[in-house]
Amino acid sequence: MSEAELREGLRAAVGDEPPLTFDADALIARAQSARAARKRRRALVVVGVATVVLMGTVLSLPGVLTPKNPVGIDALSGRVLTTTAGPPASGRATSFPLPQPTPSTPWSTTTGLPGGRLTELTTYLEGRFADVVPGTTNVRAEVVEVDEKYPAGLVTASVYFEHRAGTGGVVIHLSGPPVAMSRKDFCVGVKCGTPREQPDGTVVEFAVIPGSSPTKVGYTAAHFRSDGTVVEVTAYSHDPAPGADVRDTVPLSDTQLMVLASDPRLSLS
Amino acid sequence: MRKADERAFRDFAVGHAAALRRTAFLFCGDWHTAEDLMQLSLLKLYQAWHRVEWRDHPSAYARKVLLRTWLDEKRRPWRRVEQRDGEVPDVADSSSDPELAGERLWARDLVHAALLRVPPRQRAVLVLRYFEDLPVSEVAVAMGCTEGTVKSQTARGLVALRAAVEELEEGVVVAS
Repeated sequence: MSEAELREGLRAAVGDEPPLTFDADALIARAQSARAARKRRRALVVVGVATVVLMGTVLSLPGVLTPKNPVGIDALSGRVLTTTAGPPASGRATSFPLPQPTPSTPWSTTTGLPGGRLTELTTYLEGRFADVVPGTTNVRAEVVEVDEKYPAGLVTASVYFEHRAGTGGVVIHLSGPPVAMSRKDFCVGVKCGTPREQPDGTVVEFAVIPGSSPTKVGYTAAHFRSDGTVVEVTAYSHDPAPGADVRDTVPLSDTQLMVLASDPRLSLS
Repeated sequence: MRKADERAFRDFAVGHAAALRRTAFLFCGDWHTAEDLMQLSLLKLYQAWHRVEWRDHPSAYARKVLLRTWLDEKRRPWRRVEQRDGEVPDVADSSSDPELAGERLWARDLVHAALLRVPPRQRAVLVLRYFEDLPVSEVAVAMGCTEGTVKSQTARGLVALRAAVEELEEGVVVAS
């Protein structure tokens, strides 16, 4: 078979072509409908994927945010009085407002300091607090938290007392590098007062920390020491343990807070 | 799609639908399937009509789409299981000269039947070269291969077609 015969054969093969009933408008309508369906399918897939991603994020966040060592954070028997989860980035916001444990819930103690140092610090705090804040009775101090990640860098202690206006509590943070905050971080998100320079050239900063209600406030004095450590003393207008008995004033003055914060015997070493 | 584009596509579709169906028929050997292939190809062409680079050669692009659509169809399982017995249905002779018309019908059916025995890609090359009268370069574009491949496929296709024709003729002779 030659190429010419092939050409002729192919022409002849389509000789009995049936009539064409082609409707261009119907074809275009069909194409547009298919395009719309494809868009709907794509939108559905996008929404589905977004939903899966969102659900995955929501479900995985609690696992990511939960600390690996909850014992170090849960310092106050589940009803956390102060929270210091890791190195504070913005400082003050992590120490207030305080949750409200029930009055029957005792403050627990988690110790990581060497036994002798712990006892020494506790005993000294009880005596020193009574001296600095006259009129207080039943003064009791507890080291409530020692961050195990920074055994020599972060200690939180609480001092309980009774005052003529009722029961009260003071929280003391002793922190050193690398978890100690800077003066700049200290004033982030809180109202800072006029700093007071100490005889040795160091500075004590003051801040007012808003609480969960307008009447609940905390006064903090932070002593930024020359060795890089920071001692913060915070007193509240209410008893932070049960969260009741809101008073008009904070039971400790700025000076009393400063004296405690700058006490050289309140140190990590 | 803009109105102007839609009008251009409509004009193209109306003008080329018959030619595309004929080519599709030579590919697949069935007018119903050819109609489906033509419609499907034009649908795909509508979706791609906005591509400016194909505006200058919509016919070549349409042929390419048609060929791809047919090859895709052949790969589908329900197409693969289809078996053809090679028998051509009787067609009424409308010609005034029964002898001449019969001869023409015989030649037409013989080529068509033989063409269906040629492998798909070789068949496509033969149709594009000898029915559409396309040069080798355009066939290469439509097939998505090199010109050398087109030439070799053409040569093999012709050999396969001649063998199929001889086989069919021998079968007819033996049968008669």
